[in-house]
Amino acid sequence: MVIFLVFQLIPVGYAIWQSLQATTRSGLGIGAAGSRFAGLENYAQALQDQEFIAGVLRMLVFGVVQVPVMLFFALVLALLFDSSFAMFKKFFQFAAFLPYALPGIVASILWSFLYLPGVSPIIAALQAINVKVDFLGPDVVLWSIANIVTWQWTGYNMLIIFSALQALPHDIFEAARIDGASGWAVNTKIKIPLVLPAIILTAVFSIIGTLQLFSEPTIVRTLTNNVTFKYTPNMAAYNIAFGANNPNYAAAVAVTLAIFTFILSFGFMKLTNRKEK
Amino acid sequence: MSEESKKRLNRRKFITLTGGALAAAGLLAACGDNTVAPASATTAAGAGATTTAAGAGATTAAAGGTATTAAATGATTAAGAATAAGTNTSGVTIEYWSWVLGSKESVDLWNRTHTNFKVNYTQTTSGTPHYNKVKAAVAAGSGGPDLAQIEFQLVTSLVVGGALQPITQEAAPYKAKFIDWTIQQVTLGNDIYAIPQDIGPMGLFYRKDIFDQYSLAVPKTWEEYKAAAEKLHAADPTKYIASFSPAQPGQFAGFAWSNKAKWFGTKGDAWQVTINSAETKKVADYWQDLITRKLVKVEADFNPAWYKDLLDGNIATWVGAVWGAGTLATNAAGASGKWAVAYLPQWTAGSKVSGNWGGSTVAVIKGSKHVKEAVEFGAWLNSDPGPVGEMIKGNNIYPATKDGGSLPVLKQPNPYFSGQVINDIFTESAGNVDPSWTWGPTIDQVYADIGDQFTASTNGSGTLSSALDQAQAKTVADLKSKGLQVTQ
Amino acid sequence: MKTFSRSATGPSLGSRTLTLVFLVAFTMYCLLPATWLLFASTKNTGDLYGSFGFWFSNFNLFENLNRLATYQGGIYLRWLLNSLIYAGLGGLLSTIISAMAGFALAKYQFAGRELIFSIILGGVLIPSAVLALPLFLLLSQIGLTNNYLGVLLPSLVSPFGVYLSRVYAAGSVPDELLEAARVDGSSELRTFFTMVTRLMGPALVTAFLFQFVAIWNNFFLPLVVLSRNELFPVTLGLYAWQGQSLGNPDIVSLVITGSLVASLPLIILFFSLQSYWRAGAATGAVKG
Repeated sequence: MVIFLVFQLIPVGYAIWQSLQATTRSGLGIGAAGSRFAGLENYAQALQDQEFIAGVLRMLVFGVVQVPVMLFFALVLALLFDSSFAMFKKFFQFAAFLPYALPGIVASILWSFLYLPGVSPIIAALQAINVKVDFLGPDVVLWSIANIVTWQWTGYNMLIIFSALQALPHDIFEAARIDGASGWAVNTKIKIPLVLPAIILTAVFSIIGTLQLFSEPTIVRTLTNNVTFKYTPNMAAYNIAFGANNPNYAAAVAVTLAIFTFILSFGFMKLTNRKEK
Repeated sequence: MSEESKKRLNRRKFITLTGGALAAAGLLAACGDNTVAPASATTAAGAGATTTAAGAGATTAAAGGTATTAAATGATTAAGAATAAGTNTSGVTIEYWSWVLGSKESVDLWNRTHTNFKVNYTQTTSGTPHYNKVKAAVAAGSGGPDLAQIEFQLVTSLVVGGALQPITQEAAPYKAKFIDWTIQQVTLGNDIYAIPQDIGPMGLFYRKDIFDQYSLAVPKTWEEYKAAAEKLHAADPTKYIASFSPAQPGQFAGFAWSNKAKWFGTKGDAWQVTINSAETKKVADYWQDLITRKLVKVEADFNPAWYKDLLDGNIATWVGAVWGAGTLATNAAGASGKWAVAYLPQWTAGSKVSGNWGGSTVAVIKGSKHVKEAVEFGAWLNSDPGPVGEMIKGNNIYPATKDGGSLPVLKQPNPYFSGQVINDIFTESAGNVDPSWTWGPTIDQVYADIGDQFTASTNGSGTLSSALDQAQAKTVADLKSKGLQVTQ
Repeated sequence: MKTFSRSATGPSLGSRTLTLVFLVAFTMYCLLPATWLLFASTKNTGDLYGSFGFWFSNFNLFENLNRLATYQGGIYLRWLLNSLIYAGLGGLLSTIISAMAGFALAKYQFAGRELIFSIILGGVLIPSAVLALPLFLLLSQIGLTNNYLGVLLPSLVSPFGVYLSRVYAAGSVPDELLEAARVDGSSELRTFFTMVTRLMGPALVTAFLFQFVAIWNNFFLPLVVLSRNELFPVTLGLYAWQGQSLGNPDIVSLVITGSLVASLPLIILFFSLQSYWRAGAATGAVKG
């Protein structure tokens, strides 16, 4: 218990305390810096920081598209694996799950090579059939990052949903089938509602993950200017803390992000709860 | 004792024991830790002995550059004996962080030839990762280097950020060796904060083969450069005169510098900010025109795709700095014999103004207990022909010392450039660098802002010029919010 | 999907084919990048840029591995070892702690039980930046940055592990058995380590595995906390090399081969422990 207290509550408390302070300097800034109580100034600054807000909005757009797409694939895969007519289940499952076993950094490095003109066999192949793509272009790069995330996490989410499916009593489905229900009906009317809690769980985790996106855009940033240094909220917090040397403001940004995450996750859970009823 | 209370007691015991397990875990890990940080232990132990040994070291070095050099060369021959003795008379080991290739060899050279203290070298990743690590170590108050590579533009920012130590006294004996404007750039108020290592006088790298193929004349002015851009792109739409990387404010600052612009200045105890001055805007408008007319390729530099363009000749010139010769030779090795160097194009025909892009220093990091040793090593590293030669070999640096330009190694024909003595051009350029350029106190922020705003404008919202206005406003606001004074 | 057959004898040929096509396509999507990594790690930097991505060129794998093991004094091996320490030790301790906490939360009644559980679960929601940045400042004040503890200690916290342990303990450890053990005079701790851990086996393996993966793959925390090369886990080391490779193409082949090597332990681990974590994950998901 103590350890949870130490490594969860204290940092959070310290972050809040930090976020209420500001560093003071004077003149040319050579002398020693002091600190003062700044109240909510840092928060006001965060809410007016266009790039930070843009980063949060970007992640919302990202989440609204990427999370459903990923979970849709995860669900379809899980249902197929659970059904009687998929072949080579073990092999396909292993393949789908493999990307999760790769460290996020490795996945990002790997895909960034596949996005790089002149190196990527994908771009070369597309060029051969006269399709020009720029995976790192200003409007495309976000979805290139989304692809890395989808690639990495679909298998993981599939596993959670699949496990839930496996745990269901299968004789119900058999009974339903004998009663003449189609495979489609069994899936939508019985299986999906029963594993809805698992799906919601994966959705909440994915939303949180989205808001914390860091390593993928950090790697991609080394290849293109279109990923700015405040591209995602987490990048903003890190770069403000160390790049711009402003831990107080960084703390405010981080706490703001935490509040956002709470609102979104709880909002989502409330919403789905209501629907369930 | 009732069954119920026994249970409760046991539960408490269980929870306590959980805590015990944690403590044990901590101990276990702590033991592991001891084995990994012997360096800091030595440092702490050696701290007492420091002053005397360092004093001796400093005097020897102060006796004169040539003497040190001679001693160094002499000692190199006797290196075997020195290493065998394993001498480190003061017991001091300083930690040095850099990304410059050739640094490791230089450190090895020091450790072979000097016995008063040792240097431990750590290779870092250049740019943001390096500085973030340094700042993190300063914030942590431990684990940082004594001496670290710091680029010129960041020295002031790091001083204001509280990451560097003043070394005015320790550096006094060496000061005169370095080019005056480089010393100026590492001086803030009355104190010196770093030892200059190399400078980046600018020049024009161009593809001789492509210039010949399309019979382009090597441009002497920016006017001619634009004409060449038009001619080349018209002849072959897949080819561009250059790439423009919106997130490379260092290069853009160099452009502005060579148009005698200034971004920062000090007046008494206050900062002046002039990022959107007429001189800088002239440069911005020029490149904006090339971008709008698609005569330059907008792309990030220093990544494999850009290197491929340099190699394949999709971009025919690169307005770079002296160290760029190394960049080309390493990353576009296949284009050997195709590149050449010319003097930086001018705004006014006949003039010879130049700017500086890059170049760096070594600075003593806050928290170091071995300032004297760090400065002694830093001064040796940046001025002695031994280590300077290693870094020229490794990274094609151009030394910041007054007599550095006349090193024989810099006067040799460069095989990559078909035997051209490229440093003849860069030495001339170095002599014409406008000495009055000043770096501001929040350069990370400025660079990030300019980079992001330029990226936005090359993606179609606004112009480079309007981006400069925004960067100006943001920088002034940022300085004020930090409590710094800003004046007109 | 509407084409699924209604016949009781099984799905039609059409839907089987459709399924197979979908599965094959998705598998290609999952495996192709990994395959590219395999081919790329056999190439030197020149061939990497100059040859077709999905086939061999000059076979340089062993040279690459050799360089990987020796470059910068063999620091890569050090990074692998560090990762193993962080993930292995951290995963193990974290599992024990999670198991105890989960067990206590499931089997003991005490005031604030649900509150504590909620707080622990709430930890999942806290962005890593919120934890890592202040943690870094706190650790630096007690001198714990730049050593193994700085990464290990925060890694001991695993809300998922606690959650899993609680759910599993509630379902698989019968109260009667605990009662019997108490009557026999076994201490709570002994009961826990001899009996409970065995009963909770699959859940513990799962918790360990996922925590191991989480630590092995963690990037943000070590990035913030560590600044000395020799303490880096392999992820951070690869990130450093990736950055260095932009100015020094010689290292590109090291980054790629290093990426491959860094992925292997997890793939092997997952493969060999399959039956455990499948069972364990099922528990977590059902009650989720």
